[in-house]
Amino acid sequence: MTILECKNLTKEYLSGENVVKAVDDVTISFEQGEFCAITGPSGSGKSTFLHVLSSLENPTSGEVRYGEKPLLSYNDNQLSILRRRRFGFVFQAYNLVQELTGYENILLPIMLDNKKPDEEYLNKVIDILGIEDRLHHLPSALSGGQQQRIAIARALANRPSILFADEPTGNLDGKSGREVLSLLKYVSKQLGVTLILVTHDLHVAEQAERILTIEDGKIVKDTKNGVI
Amino acid sequence: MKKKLTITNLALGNLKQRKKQYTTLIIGIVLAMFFSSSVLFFVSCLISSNEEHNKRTVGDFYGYFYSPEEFLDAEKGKEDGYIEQFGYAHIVGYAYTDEENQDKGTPIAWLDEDAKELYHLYFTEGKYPEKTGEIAIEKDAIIRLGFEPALGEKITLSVLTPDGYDYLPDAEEKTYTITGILSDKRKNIERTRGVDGVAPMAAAFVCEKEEIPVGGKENLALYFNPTEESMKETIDVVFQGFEDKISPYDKYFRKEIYAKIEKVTGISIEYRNNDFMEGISTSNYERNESVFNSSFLTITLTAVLMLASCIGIVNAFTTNLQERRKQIGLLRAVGTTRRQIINIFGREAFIITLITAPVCVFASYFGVKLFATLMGDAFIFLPNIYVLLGSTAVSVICVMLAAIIPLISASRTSPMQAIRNIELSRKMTRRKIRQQKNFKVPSLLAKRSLKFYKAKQVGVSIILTLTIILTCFGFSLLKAEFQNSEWYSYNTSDYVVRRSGYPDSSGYVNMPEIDKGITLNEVQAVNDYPVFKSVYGYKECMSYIICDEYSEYMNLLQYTWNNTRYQETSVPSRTIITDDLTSEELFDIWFDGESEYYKKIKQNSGTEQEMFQLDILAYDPEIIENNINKFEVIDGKIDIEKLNSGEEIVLMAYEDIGFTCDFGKDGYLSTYGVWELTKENLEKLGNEGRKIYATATLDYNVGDKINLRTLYSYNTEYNWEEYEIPENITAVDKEVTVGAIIKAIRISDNLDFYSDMGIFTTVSGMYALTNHEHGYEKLCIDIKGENDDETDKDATDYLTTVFSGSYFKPISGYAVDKESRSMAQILLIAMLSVVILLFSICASIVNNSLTAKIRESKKEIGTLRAVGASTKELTESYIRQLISMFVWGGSFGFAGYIVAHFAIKIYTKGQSELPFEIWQSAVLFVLLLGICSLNLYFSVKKQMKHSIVENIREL
Repeated sequence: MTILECKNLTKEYLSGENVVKAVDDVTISFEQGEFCAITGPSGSGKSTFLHVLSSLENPTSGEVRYGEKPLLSYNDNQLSILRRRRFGFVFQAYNLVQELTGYENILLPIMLDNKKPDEEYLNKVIDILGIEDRLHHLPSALSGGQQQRIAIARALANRPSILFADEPTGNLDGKSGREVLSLLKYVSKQLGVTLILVTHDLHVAEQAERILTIEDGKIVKDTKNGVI
Repeated sequence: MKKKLTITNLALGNLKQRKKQYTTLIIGIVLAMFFSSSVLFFVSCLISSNEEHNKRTVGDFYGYFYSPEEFLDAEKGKEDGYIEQFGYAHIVGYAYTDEENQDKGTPIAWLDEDAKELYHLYFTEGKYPEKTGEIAIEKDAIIRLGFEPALGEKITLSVLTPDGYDYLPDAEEKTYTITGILSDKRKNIERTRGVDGVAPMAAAFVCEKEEIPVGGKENLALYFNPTEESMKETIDVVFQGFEDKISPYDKYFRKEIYAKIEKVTGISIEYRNNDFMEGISTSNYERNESVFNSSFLTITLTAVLMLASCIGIVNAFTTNLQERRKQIGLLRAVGTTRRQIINIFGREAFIITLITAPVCVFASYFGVKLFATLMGDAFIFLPNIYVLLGSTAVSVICVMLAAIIPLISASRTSPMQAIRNIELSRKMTRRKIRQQKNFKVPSLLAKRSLKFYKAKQVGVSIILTLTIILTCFGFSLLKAEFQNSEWYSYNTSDYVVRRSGYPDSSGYVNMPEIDKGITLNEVQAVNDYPVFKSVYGYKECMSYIICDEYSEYMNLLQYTWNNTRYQETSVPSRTIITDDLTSEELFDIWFDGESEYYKKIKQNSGTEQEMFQLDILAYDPEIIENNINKFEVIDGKIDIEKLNSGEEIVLMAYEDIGFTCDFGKDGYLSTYGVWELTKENLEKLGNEGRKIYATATLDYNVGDKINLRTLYSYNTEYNWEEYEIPENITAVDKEVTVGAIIKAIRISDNLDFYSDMGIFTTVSGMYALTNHEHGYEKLCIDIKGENDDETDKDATDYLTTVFSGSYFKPISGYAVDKESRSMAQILLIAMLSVVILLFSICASIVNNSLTAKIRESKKEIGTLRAVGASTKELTESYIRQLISMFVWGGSFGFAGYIVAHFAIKIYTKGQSELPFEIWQSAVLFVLLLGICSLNLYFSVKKQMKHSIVENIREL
C-alpha cells in the first residue's frame, strides 16, 4: 500500500544569481513498511529530496501526498500535528534539545500531542536501542552514538508511519554507525515503520530493500531487492 | 592593494558584516553616551545657574564701599594682592520724585567697565545708555519712583547734586528717557536703606558723559572682590581703621560673615562707613533652592538613565559576543591571547563610541540647552570647552567601562568552543535537574531555560525592579508637587506683607521714630483698596520685667540670643567646657560680669532694679478668637477683654528648660541653646549624647503680678557712638497680672511665634501696656472672591507701591503657587519623558535578552518544529520566560516601593508628604509586558517564516 508519493516534485534554490534545481521533476511512491535508501554523490539533492518529502521544506512545484492527502493542503498547525503523530526524524547532527534529558527528549512528540506515554512501547524501544542507563542525562553528557540512539527513540516515540533519516550515521564512527543502522533496520521491521534513509555510503544503502540513486536532482536508478 | 590586517581593520570588517546584530549595541552605546554626558552638562547647568542667579540678584562682587577713598586705596590693595578686581560707580546725582518721598529715590551713577562687570547689569529689556539724558534703571527703583517700567518712557526727576561725599541741598529737575530696564539687585543687596534721604547704592545708571552741575563733585562707590587666597585677610585689611567703630558688633557680625563666605559663594557684603550688613534676601535664597532642587532631581534621574543604559550596553554586548562564541573560540584555538581578544572586540565598541560620540555629546548638549530654555530664565547653561571635553571623556569612559565586563567574560572563552558549545555543556553539568515524566513542553522548556540562563533573568529582573521603584517614587513626587499648594500649606491669607530689613535701631530701646513698622496709614491704604476684603496682623515691641533679682530661669535664658545682661567671654573651647562642670562654674566661664550696655540701660532709664528683656507680641483680636484652640495653654485662661484693657497678659514660656551645648571637630563651640525639657527632647538629647548643664523651672504662676517697663527713645537718628543706648529714654511702667501661661503660638500665615519667654496680648492690650501705637510687624491680606492674573497684578502692584521704600515687602500667594504650578508642569513633562525613556530602555533590555535567546536557539526551534511543535507552543515557552522575569521584577519592584514608602513614613514619623502612588506604574508595567510579549510573538513568527531546514542549518 502506498503511504507516501510525490508527483513532478521540484525544488529550486538561488545560488547567487543562478537557479539550482536540487530536486528536478521527481515522481515516485513509497510503500508502507519498506526500507528505502536514497543515495547519490554529494550535492546531488538527496537530502533536499528527503526534506521536501517530509514537509521540512516546501517544494517549488509538484506535490507530496501522505495517504491520499497532498501536504500542500495542510496549514502550518496541521503540518505540525502530522509531524508529531505520523513522521519521525533522525538527523545527522542528532538535534536533541539540550535543556532536556534523554528521556524528556524522547517524550517530546508525545507531550506535544498532550498524550499519555505508552510505557510498555517506550520501554521496548529503549530496550531495543540499549539506552536505559543514559536516559536521565542531558545530551551534553552523552556520546554521539548515544545521542543518535536517543534521537531514534524520539523519532519512534509516537509510533510514526514513516521514519525519515538524514545521514544518521554520518557523524558516527564505523562501529557506532553500523550499530545505529542495524537498530534502524530492526526497529522499522519490528514496528512496521516505513524507513526512508539518505546516505552517501553505499555499504549502508546496500542494506535497504530499495535504493534510489539521485544525480542532479533526478532519480537515475530505482532498485528494489537488487532488481532495477 | 590589500588592506593590512590590523586589529582596527578586523574590528571595522566585523562591524560592516554584522550591522544588524550591532543595532541594539549601538542604541545602548548612544543612549549611555547621551545620558552620561547629560549628567555632566546638568551639573554644569546647575553650577552656572547658581552663579548666574547670584550675579543677577546680588552682583559678582563681595564687597561694596561707599566713598572708599577715605580709607581704602583699591589700586594698592590690588598691587599688594589683596584685591582681585575692583570698579567704581561714579554717582552723579540722587533722583527722587517729590520731597515727601525723597527716601524712595535712588542715586544715579555711571559705571566704569570693571564696575559694570562686577555689578553684572542684567537687562530684562533695552540696553545701557549711550547719550546724555538716557537712563537704565532697576525695575523696583522705577516703581518706587512711581513710574511704569516701560522702555522709551520719559521720566522727570528731581536730582540732588553730589558734593564728593553727600549731596547738596537743592535739587534740579531733569528728564530722562528709559533705555534699559534692569533686574532688581539693589533691593536684594541693601534691603533698601534710607538715611537722611540718601540711599547708598545706585539703582539707576547713565552714560559717563552725564554732567554734574557746577559746584558739584561726583561721589564714589567701590565694588570689589578680594583675592580668594587672602579673603579673610583682605577683609581684615580693608576694615583697618574702622575696628574701633565696629568693635562692639564686630565679633558677632564678622563671625557670621566669615562663616557665610566660607560656606556660601555669592553672598555680597555691604560695608558703608560704620553700617555693616550682608545682602541677600530670603526670597532669592528660596528661588535659588528651587533651581537647585529641580536640577538635582534631573541630575539624579539622568544618572539613573545613564546607569540603565550602561546595563543595556552590558546586556547588548554580552548577547553580541555570545553569538560569536564560536568565532572567539576559533581565535583562541589559533593562538589569540585573552588580552588580544579584549583588544579585538573592545576595539569594535570603541570605534562605535568614537563614531557616535560627537553626535551624542552634541545631542545631549542641545537636550540640556532645551531643558534650560524650557525651565525658564533661572536656568543658565553656558558650558565651556572643558565641560564639553569632560562630557565626551566621561561618556566614552562610561561606555568602555560597561563594555569591559562582557569583554572579560568573552576573553575567557575556551578554544574548544570553536568545536562545540562546551560553555553550555559546563553550565548543564553544573546544574542539577529533576527529570520530568509528564510535562507541558512550553512550560518545561521555559523552566529549563531560566534555570540554565539564570544570570540573564536576574539581570533583567533587577532592571525591572529598579524601574518600578523609580517610577513609583517619580509619580509620588509628582503628585506631591501638584497636591501641595506651596503657599496655602503655610498660609490662609492671600497676601502677606512681611519685614524685609531693619533700620539701624537700638536692640534695647524701642525707637518708634526710626522703626515705624507697618504704619496705620499703610494699613488704612490697604484696607481702602477695593480688591481687598480683610487685613489683619500682629505687632511686636521690646519690654522689660523689673525685678529685684534674676531667677534661675532668667539666668538660664541669658545663654541664648535673649542675653542682655551679661558680657560673654570669648567662645569657650572644648578644653574649658567639660562634662563635669557645674551650672555655676559654667556660668562663670561663659560670662564675664554685666555688660556695659546693661549698666547703661539701667542708668539711662533711672532704675537700680534688675531688668529682664522680652518681647511683647500683640495680635488683632479676630486672629485670637479664630485660633483660640491652637494655643497650647499650660495654665489659666485667655480672657480677651482683660487683655484688651491691659489688666492681664499671657506669658509665653516653657515650664522646664535646660541648657546644652556641643562642639565641632576643631574643639570650638558649634551649637548651644535652651531646650524645653519634654520627654521627647530629653530622649533626643540623650540619644545624641548631649549633656544638660543647667536646668530651671518657670517661677511665674497664673495670678502673679509682673512689673513691666517699656523703654522709648524718640531720637530720629541712631548713634553708634552712644553704644546703642540713647541718653533720653522714656520709660512706661505697668503692673500686670499673668492671666494665662502658654507654650507657643502656632497659627497659620507664618504667624507662629517661638520664643523662650515673651508676653502675648491683643493690639489694644499692647497700647494699654505701652501707651504707644506701634506699627504692625506683619500683615495678612485676603482678597474678595477668587484671585486671577489680572487681580493679582493689580493687588501686587498696589501693595508694592504702598510699601515701596519701607522695610516691608508684599508676597503674593497666587504668584508663589503659580510659579510652583508651572514648575510642577515642567516637571511632569520631564518626568513623563524620563519614565517613557526608562521603560523603553527596560523594554529594549528585556526584548534584547529574549530575542537574542530566540536567535541563539534557531537550531532548537528547528528541531522542535521537526518533532511537531507549532508557533503556539514555541511562543508560549518564551512568553513564560518573559512572565517569570516580570513576576520576579514586578514583585520585588512593587514590594520594594511599598517597603521604602512605609520606611520613609516611619523614619519621618509620619511627616513625609509623599502620597502612595502605585497604579500608574502598574499600568505601565502591564503595558510593558504586553509590548514585550508582542515583540516576542513576532520574533518567534519571524523564525517560523524560515523553513525548518533553514532553522536547523543556520547554526
